[in-house]
Amino acid sequence: MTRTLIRYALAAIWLVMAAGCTETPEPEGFAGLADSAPESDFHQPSPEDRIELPEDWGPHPEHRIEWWYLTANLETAEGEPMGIQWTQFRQGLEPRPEAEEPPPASRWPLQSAWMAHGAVSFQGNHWFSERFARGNIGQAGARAEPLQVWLDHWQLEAVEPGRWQLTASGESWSYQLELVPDDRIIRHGDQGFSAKADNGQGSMYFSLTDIAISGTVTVDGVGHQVTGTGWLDREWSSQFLRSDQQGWDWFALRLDDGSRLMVFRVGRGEDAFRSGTLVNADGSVHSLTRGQIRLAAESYRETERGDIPVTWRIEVPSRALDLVVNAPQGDYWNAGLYPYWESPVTVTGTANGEGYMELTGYTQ
Amino acid sequence: MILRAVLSHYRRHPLQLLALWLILTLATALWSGVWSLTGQARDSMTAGDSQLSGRQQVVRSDGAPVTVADFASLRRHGLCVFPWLQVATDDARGQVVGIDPLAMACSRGAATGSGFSMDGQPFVDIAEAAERAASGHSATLRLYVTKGDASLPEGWQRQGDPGGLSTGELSDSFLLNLDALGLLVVLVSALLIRSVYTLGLAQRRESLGLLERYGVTRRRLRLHLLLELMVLAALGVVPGYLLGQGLADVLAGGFGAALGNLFETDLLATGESLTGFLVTLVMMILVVLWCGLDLLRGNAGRTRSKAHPVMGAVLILAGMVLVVPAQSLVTVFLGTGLVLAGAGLMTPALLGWCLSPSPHMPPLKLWRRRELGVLAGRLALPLVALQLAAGTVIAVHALVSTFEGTFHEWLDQRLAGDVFVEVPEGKPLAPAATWLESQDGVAQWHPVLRGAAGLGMNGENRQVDLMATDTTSTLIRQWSLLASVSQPWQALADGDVLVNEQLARRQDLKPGSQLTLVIADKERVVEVVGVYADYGRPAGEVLVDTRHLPDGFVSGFRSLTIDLADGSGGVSRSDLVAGLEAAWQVGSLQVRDNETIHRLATRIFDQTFALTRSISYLTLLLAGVALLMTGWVVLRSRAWYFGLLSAWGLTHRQRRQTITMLTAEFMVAIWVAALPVGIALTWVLVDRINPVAFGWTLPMAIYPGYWLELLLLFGLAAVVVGWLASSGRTEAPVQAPRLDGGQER
Repeated sequence: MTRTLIRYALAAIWLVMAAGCTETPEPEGFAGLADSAPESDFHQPSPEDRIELPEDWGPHPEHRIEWWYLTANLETAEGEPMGIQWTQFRQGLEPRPEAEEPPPASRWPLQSAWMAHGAVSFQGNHWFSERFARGNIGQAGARAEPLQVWLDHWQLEAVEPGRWQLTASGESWSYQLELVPDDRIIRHGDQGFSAKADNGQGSMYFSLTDIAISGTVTVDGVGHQVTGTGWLDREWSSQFLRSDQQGWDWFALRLDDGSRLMVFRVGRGEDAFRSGTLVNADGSVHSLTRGQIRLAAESYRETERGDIPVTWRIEVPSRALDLVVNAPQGDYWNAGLYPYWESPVTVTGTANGEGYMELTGYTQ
Repeated sequence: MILRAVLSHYRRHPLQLLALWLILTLATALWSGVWSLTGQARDSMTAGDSQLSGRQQVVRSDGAPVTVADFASLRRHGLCVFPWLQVATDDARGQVVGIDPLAMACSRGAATGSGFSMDGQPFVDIAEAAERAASGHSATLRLYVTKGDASLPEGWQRQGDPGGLSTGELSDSFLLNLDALGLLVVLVSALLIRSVYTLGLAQRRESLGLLERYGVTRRRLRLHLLLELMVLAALGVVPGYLLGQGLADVLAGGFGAALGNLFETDLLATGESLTGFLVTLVMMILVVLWCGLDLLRGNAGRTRSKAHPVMGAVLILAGMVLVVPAQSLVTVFLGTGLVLAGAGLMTPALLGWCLSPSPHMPPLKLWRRRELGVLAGRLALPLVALQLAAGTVIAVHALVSTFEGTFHEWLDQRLAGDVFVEVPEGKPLAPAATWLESQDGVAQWHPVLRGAAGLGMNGENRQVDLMATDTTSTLIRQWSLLASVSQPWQALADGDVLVNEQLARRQDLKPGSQLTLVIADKERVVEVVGVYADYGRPAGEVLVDTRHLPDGFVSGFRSLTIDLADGSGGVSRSDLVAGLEAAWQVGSLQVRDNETIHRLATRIFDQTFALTRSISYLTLLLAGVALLMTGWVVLRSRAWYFGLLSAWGLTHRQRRQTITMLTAEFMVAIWVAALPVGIALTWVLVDRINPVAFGWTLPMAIYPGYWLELLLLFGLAAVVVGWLASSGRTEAPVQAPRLDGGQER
């Protein structure tokens, strides 16, 4: 099989990124997929699937797409808010049973391609970098136990039980952070199967919502000591969004009352698929269905790449939640191969809080 | 009120307004196009050069071959390395290069971002190349890093790329000449604008004089005219800028597509830049000021002085005196400017003299000659502007063609043979020589030894580079020499020397010159039997035959150039490398595949040349429009006289033929006048600027085929102008006694 359409494969990664981070499916993106194995060859997630830990921290070569997605709301020693993002994606081009060994590295196999994104948001500025690698040669990969996810010299690594280290750097920015994850694993949807459409499509999805973070973030040569809290999503699937599902809006919010809320919307308009998870302060987890969530953009910001909804109203009437989510001033486009918006947010309304917002499908 | 009166001219002649706006817009388009294209050509050349020479190999200090694990390890260390897997194909002489598109961003010095797509021979995905390697084809994996990247981890070191090829001064020279031509294009277009504007102004003299008689002061009138010009310029600059960018994009896009498989298209990225726009704006302001200066001084359309031809001759002479012996670029540019100015002053008078009628001519021919004389006088400025524009176009074409030819010749010379092998340090040549001689599949080979030599000149000893080779090799004898004695290769084999052009110029060496050569402390007097072109670097070099090297000579670098036999009798690259490795008893060799490098270099630089050619197309476009415009304006102003032809009994058709013949003769006259300017400019570019800047010349070449293409274009313009001038109603003669050079005969 010729493998010269790697760009398209990467476009495909983007199309499915984070079960979202999804542009309007571009014909060229799907055209490129013709070069990889058909979707049916990959294992399809279903409500019968279960999340197995720690194994599921590792890669899923039988599945087509997966990612490790960390966002964090930090604060410098001076009390200024700062946001960081680290994400690593894997795109399978050929499925491989998990028990089977990958081809030898000397053959430079291309069963999978990897992409990593790193970003820092501070004082209205946004720094972003991306890196690419082919899988199974050691340049990029993931391991469940002890946890290690890496691409080049960027990596998330468990240095001892319950303590992780995250290192990444780009032009004009870098961070070296210590992460202490909480032991509360949130399984979204139906015990981890998170539906993305009415026809049963979905992904396996779990999160760590409260990761204590400390360390150093350097921007433009100035180091900042930071502390704060992160949210890590772990998700894998084999299905791309349906071609009629345009855009992806995702929110991960930590509220001051101790509750945590994740909501997303796939597509636009009344028919958009909505779903979410509410974790109460007492730790009880409630899946939210389309009818339970109201999500509306309230104000837009003009940017070079398109108008971005920066103020949102999120309502969950059954849980008496009425929140207004705001992105701070600035331009938070991750201007990579396929641009998307990733910004820290503040929350007001029936509860205050903070979190992250990821929007795709708004490029002009 | 006054403004309305001033502008009323354009109400009566809206096409003139359109024409003036058009020339301003097109000139702006040319500037922004030239700015963009020269920028792209520069980027293209620089990027291409860095692709060829700007990388280094990363090798293990223990000498072991690198592996995919090494690649991953270096990347995990944060080093931006990219893999390059060369694998022999079934055709023993060919090979493919496997690259990892996901890692190729590093080849452009970018640590992040995606790489570029490469599709097709010789570049394939590295997995495909590895598959071939696994099926038994010989393969070499190299890891490259761009120069200046981070420090290496322990156990690793950088090494020059045997596949590297620096175009060095050849690139620099091309870019310098490109800049000089860009400047000339800008000046010529400014001259075109001024000529069109001045011509239009002369036609308005009557109405402006009327306003003066009504009491409008001359100063106020001029200020209004200046304002009018500024408004027109402002209206022309934005669409002109955008048009230029669009044209540059179209031209660059076409060429970029040809290389789309090889390099990222951002190599050709244009995009609107603020700097480009500001430069264009400043240019327009300067040209408006130039036109305005004449207005304010009140000498627009001044009569051509009879002293102009004399002044022209003096300027040409002074320019020549400066250019010929010039030792600095400033002097060359100054002298060239004087020559061009002198040509501008002389040309109208010279043409007038050449076209002066003879009383024995048939009446219609006599009439045409007289009209041509009038036109040469009236259109002095447009004529000179067009002459210089056409001359520039000829020079651009010659420059690009010359560089292209030279570049390909230089590549052929530098990349002679199929394979280039570095002799491992400390290993003698003999075992490899014995093995190579025993191989039927090796067509020919020769060693190249590089070192230093002393040159005894005028009692002092100078260090120069020394190149020693087997000068009986046909690969060497294919070199074309710039100057030589009658049997240079035989004389070289007998112990004499060749010198490179840089050394010949610096030391004033010619074929037949004697010099004292000191190699390994042994001195001998030799004769220079030839001079060869050596564009890549500034150093002086002497070439000798290896058989005449003294015993104590220690070479700094040794290599073998090997040409494989064609067809089935040829030895494969992998067998060749294996044989040499066995002969020298080493684990690996540094091997360069000349064909791949040649193909890569050619594809890169063809793009640069194509971009540069497009500058000449843009200049030609502007010159053509100016030609049509000025010709049409002036001939329309003489329509009344042309009407008299009917009174002589000529039919409408005969009248049109006569006028077309007249315009054709006028265009041919401009074309003829442009030829010496074009040749002179080409000569200055290749024969004066290069020696002064770099110490070597380029071969001077002329391209009569292209001149004929230009003549065809001029002929086409003549037909269009002739047709326009002979159609429509005839008007009363324009009173333009002070029209630039204007006079009635």
